[in-house]
Amino acid sequence: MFFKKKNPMVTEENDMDTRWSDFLRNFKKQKTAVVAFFVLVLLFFIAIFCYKIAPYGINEYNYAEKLQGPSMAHLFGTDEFGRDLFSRVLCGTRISLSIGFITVTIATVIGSVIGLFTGYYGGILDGITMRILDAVYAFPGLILAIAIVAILGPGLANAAIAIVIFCIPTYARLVRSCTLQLKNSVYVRAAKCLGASDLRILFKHILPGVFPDVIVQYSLSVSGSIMTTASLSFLGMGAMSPTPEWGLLLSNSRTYFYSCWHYAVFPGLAIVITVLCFNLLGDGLRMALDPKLNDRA
Amino acid sequence: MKKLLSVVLSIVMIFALAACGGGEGGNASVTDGVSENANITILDYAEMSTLNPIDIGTESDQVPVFMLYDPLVKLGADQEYIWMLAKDCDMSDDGLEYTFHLREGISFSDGTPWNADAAKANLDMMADQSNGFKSQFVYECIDHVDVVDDYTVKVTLKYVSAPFLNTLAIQSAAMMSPTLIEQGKQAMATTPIGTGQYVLNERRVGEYVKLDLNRDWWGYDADICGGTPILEKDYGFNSITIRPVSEESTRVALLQSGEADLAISLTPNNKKMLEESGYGVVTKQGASMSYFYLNCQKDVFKDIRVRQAISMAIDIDALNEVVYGNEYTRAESPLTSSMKFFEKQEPIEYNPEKAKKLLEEAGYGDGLTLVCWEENDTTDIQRGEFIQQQLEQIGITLKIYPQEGGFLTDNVNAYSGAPKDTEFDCYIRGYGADTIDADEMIGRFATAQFPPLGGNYSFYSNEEFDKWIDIGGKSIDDEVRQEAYSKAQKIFWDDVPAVSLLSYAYTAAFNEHIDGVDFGCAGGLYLMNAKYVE
Repeated sequence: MFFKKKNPMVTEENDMDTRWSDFLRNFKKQKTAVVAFFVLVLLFFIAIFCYKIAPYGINEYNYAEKLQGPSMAHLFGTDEFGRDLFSRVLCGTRISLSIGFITVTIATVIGSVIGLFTGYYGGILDGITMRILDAVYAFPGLILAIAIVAILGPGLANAAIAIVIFCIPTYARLVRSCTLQLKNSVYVRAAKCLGASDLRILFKHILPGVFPDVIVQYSLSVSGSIMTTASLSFLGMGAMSPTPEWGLLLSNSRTYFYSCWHYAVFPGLAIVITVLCFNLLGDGLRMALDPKLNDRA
Repeated sequence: MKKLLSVVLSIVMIFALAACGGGEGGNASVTDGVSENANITILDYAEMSTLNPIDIGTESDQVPVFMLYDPLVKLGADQEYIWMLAKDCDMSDDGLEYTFHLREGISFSDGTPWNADAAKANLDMMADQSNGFKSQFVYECIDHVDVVDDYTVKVTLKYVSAPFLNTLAIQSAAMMSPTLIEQGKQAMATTPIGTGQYVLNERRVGEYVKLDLNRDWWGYDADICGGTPILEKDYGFNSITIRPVSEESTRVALLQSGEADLAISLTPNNKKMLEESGYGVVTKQGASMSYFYLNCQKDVFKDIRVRQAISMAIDIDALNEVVYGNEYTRAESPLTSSMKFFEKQEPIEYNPEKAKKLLEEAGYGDGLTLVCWEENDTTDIQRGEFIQQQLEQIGITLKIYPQEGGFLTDNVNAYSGAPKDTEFDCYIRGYGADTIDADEMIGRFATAQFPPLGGNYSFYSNEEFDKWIDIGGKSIDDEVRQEAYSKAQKIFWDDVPAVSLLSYAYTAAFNEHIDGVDFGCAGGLYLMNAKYVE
């Protein structure tokens, strides 16, 4: 029935190779995800080199040229202080992407460790930890973030802390449920019989099994995190002026909504494109990695 | 051809007749007083924190006061006195005794009659500084109040106070029902009982305040007003709803969609756009000015060179152009030019290089970080950002925390800790002198006026300055006052406890249903001469 693999002698290395090539093959079928992936790669380069590419300084104001529409000199036009909007949107990429990745990475690490241990050991530790996380999970993300920022005070760093806190339960729950499933699997029991230590089982045998789900969730969370950062800044609780954060740019543009279309459109587009690409990539990854959704049964 | 002409003519006549009919119909309803449909919605930029007139702290708190209450005397749009609950006033020659003759036949909305006892109850409460209301420091000069007869009341002052009559014409001198005063602070803040043109219908905190017309208002009654009524019967509105909308573009959108009839505090951009699309627009210079307060009790600002450096590093003309579309006026003194005793000072030169040198001399050549508080209104944030950019040039990093107006009022105006321990180093905010008197505008920088007692947000303390303020405030001789305030303005200007930025222009836009919108001389919305147009 399952004679897809030509070589019946499956060693660890060529198993990994097959899995990787399977993944690539499946991923390539998701055309939109591939496009999203390349757009994101481009965004990464922008994030790294933004200060070199930007034609003007982010706080280089020129009061004589305020609120001008797009032109060759200012591709995206200028803002209320005559700063070049193109440079500001460009440099905002670094802020949004780094906040997105840093917060989600921290949340993933913390959440996964919590999920692994509670899922594997169970018992009272599991009960208490998960109830606490359930309580955190019960709040809608943005509302919880606003509450945390209200306590810590506004600022980009505090907004990041808030995002980390509300991302943790998602990962803890996800990893815990996978761990519960895997800890009774044959290979884990075999490892146990051979006398492997708990830590070795957790990180060597269970964690790799959890990985595909975490990766999918990761790419979806990054977009959520970028959105939340922008929302908080828009509401005046995240980045403080003159930081060229996209949400803040959008917030500043509201006053000129009726007279200067370009001011709201470009930062808005930047947010839309980035978030959309992360979501499309996440969907693509899910399709490629989930055995139930592809032909690799 | 003839047929066509006659058809055209008859159509013209029909329209002409219809127009006449409409006009007559309008006049007929006018004589009956304010129409039932005359309901308007006003959009303010911030939420009012209280309905207690003596406890007001922000411009938004002032908006409903003269609708619900009347004072003894009011200042008209051109700084003239309009006698309200008092008919007139006699002042003794030494300037210490004021005798008010009250109008007869007026009662509060709860039925309590307006008489000398009611006036005494109000004046006593205003004078009693132990109450701790935000606006009562201006009545500190009242020594005692005597009831002479049923409708005559005599106020004796501790010392001569030149602006005393003006302080009785501002919102905080609104006369409340004695029964309300007895009920205490909580009731005063929530259930207003006055003699005003309107009565409170409902207040929903954060949403709206709705006021209904008091059709029996004494001001419509020619007999009580001694011949001519304060207002004709058709002036006013059947109901007024005041809504706080902090976002300017939302105010504009609500005005355009017809959900509101009047919006205040607009940026030049949007004002121009509304004017072009047919809305009525009013702009008026008031007695308000924005200041960049520097807390002089902080070590960094004890050095006058730092204060001077900051004053030289801000290009105020550019601020006016960039943020306010040149509608404001550059400050030429800590007083606005509309005020008596205003004296133009030598303009501070915009010179970042010199400012940088001054900072280096003071030992801050490597840079300086300052915490700054401001209000979170759209243009206020822009003003802050502009100043931030300017100070960046001389190596000062300004960390700005925009906050809600009522919150700022509670934390700055009512600050009671040690002056050098304030969380902010500097503070940007406008100040409106409701009494339009120099004593309030510049006198508040005296040492005795540290918050929470007064408006010395710079915590400025200078003996020489205090001396002139004292002389100016306690004299009724204009020559003496002129000299005192001239000296005081000079000292202030050279010493820079606060950078005087721009004197405000107030703006409002309104639709075709309102006529007669104006701003008072101090800058508050003045709807007394307004009426509804169908």
